[in-house]
Amino acid sequence: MILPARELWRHKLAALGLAVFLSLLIVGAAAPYVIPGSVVRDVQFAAKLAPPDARHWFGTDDYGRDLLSMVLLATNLDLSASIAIVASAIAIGVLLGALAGFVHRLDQALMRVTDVFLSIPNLVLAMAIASVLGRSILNLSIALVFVWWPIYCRLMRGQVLSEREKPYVKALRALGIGSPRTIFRHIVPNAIFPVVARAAADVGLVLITMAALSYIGFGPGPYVPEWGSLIASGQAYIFQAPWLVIFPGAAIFLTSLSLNLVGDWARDAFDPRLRR
Amino acid sequence: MGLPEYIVKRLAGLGLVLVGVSMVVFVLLRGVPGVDPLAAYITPGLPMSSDALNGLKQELHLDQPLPVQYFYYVAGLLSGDWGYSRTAAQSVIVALLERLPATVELAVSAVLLSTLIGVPAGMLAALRRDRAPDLAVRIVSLAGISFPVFWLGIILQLVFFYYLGRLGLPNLPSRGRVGDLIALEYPLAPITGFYLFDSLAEGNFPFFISALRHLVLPAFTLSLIGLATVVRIMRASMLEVLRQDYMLLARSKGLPLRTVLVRHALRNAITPVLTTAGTTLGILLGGAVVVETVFSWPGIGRLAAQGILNNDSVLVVGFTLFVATMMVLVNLVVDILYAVVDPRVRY
Repeated sequence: MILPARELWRHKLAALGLAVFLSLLIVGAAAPYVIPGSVVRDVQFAAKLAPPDARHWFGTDDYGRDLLSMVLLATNLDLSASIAIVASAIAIGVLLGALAGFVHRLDQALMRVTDVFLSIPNLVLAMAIASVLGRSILNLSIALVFVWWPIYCRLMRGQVLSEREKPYVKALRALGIGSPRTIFRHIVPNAIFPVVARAAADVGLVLITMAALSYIGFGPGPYVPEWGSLIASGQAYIFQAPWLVIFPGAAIFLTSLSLNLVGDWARDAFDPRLRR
Repeated sequence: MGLPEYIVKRLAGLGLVLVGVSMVVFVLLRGVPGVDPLAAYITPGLPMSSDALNGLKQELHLDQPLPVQYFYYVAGLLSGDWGYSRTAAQSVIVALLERLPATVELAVSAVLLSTLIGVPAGMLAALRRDRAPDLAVRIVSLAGISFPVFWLGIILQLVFFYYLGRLGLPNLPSRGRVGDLIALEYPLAPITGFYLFDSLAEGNFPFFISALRHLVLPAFTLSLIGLATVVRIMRASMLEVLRQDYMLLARSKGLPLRTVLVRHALRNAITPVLTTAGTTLGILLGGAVVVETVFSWPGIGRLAAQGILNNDSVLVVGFTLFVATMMVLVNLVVDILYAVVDPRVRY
């Protein structure tokens, strides 16, 4: 198949995004093994707020710690948390959405519940849930799962509703295949593409939302590196030591941009209606 | 079905959503396993006597079963009792309403900015589809949704406040709604609470200029949250409109390109942007929490963020209910306007 120049260009960008994201994953996974954990506790106030140089490429933070190590260590937490949040939300949303598409009574109730959840802005709802549960990264992640599952539930339900009318479902029934098997072995795999297509961009969105909430106060404290709270603690020194804010933010931007490049391509690839 | 019936039907649906939201909010405050509903009322380090705790328990009807509590809670909400915020040292609803104009001024400016930039950009991208302008607009909007806005806000402060100031160039203020000295020298008697409007109405121009300069950076930062969405929707809907037969007809009957673009294309293509305005405003109200914190903007978002630091969940949850209610109302208004403006809408 000969791709038009524009398609090729898009694919190249998507491939670039994927490559960047995979490298970030590797960096995040390797960071705790390569960088000694003692760096986080290595407080040296004499060396604080040093500008970037050959020894400390990103400079040092307000505790005198090497900022590059902190940013790299944070890659682990930020990436694994946002991926885990999206994966859990997809698991819950797909399961409930598939059931809603089949059980009419459940459908009505579930759709009213998702209406309510979707009527509150993501960040605001996550903030309320996490603030009731108590300030911690785990509670923040739980809150974000609560916020994101209805999106997948609605998507999956719509897909299942259109999929179940197709002839192959009737054929399966004629063959005597039971409902659970039909739903989870045949319909869900056929209906799941739009969910998968959203996933990459959503990991980016969850990452930004998590960093933002961690910035306004849900962060894990100074001894657990996390991008949003690194920015929060660096903001006090923005005019003296701007690198404290610039580098962690650039890490968020790079991650989220790479995911959006992949997500943009995935959305078009899985949804031919948008390909114009 | 006529318009009045449509409005009634929409109101009923939205009422249901609001009842649902109140239930979610109630469960958060009273029914989360392992969380003591009284904890939100106790300032850490300031323990209350058991008498005071028991009094509070009775006042909040915590000794009653949950459904009864819910009844009392909703009755309280309807009568304006949204609980007491330790952070603001005020009743929650008063604290929110007092700071609402600041947030609305910021959010509306941001919506205007993202529309004023986003609509022409989306149109341009659609008209020059797949050429350089389209690619540029798409890359910029892709980068736009990838920015953590709170980070961008801090960087803008660094550049437009600090670096410009150090170079001795005119710079932009980075914190608050108006200069402290200006507010002392040219005091403003509040009418609506919207500084720009009030100062103009009173002819207080120094105040107006100061308020406007304070608004630039936060409004621009906040507008970036909605900008990418506006561009994307505008581009897609413009592409759709450009394929319609009436566009060909309009051109072939000799109308100038300009007229065709503005009168035929823009008017038809802009409706999806307007429909999503309600949702966009909701997203911006969420973003306001973060942007107001960055710029020390004294609105409801910063108050909620302060509530988080104080473990003041009465305030934070009240804020959530408030934002959800506003979103529902804005969506209702948008729907009705849409039905009035566009005769093709079938209710």
